[in-house]
Amino acid sequence: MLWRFIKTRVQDLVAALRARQAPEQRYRRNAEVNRKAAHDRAEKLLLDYLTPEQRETYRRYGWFVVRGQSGNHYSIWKNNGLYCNICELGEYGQIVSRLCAHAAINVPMGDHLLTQKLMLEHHEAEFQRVANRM
Amino acid sequence: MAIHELEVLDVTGHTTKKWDTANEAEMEVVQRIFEDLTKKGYKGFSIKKGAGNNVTESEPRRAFDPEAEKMLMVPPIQAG
Repeated sequence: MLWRFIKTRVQDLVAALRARQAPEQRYRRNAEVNRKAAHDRAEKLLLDYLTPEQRETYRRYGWFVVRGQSGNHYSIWKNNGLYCNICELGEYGQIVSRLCAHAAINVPMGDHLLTQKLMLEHHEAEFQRVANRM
Repeated sequence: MAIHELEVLDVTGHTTKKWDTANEAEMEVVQRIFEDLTKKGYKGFSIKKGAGNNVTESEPRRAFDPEAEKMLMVPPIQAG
């Protein structure tokens, strides 16, 4: 009798716990699906903005080179996250310094890279002023 | 009649707003979005596309250009 009572109570508790966790699990699953969709959309948009040469190096090695208005060249990398992912290149392609600046809002990686590309190409001085340099 | 697009980078990848130059109401809505975002530090670009949806030209724009085939708004940057 006591055993049956305990068993029923435990079953009720487990069911209640599962019911409580269900919305949270559903929310996490949806958030993951949305995050992946946003990542794919941003990646596709970035690829539209790259030249064939940039697209080639980006697909193969995870970086592409842009040219600022000053004539300086920069390589933008996606593989190491956003921490100093931009290299300022010297005359012979050597790394002169690393720059660290990215979009100030929460956007997928592809959008960060597109923002860095367009800023370096068209607003290079502002980018240089804002960025941390290593 | 041509449909023009404004793309705004955001947490979803980007959001697209369309306008038709023949439709003033549509144009005003998009223009307001452009101006609001510019005040928040976003940078505007007018975009020209070539074959295969690839961008062939991007030009920075301080003001909304209703005749632009496509415009893109990128968020302000911060040091990392």
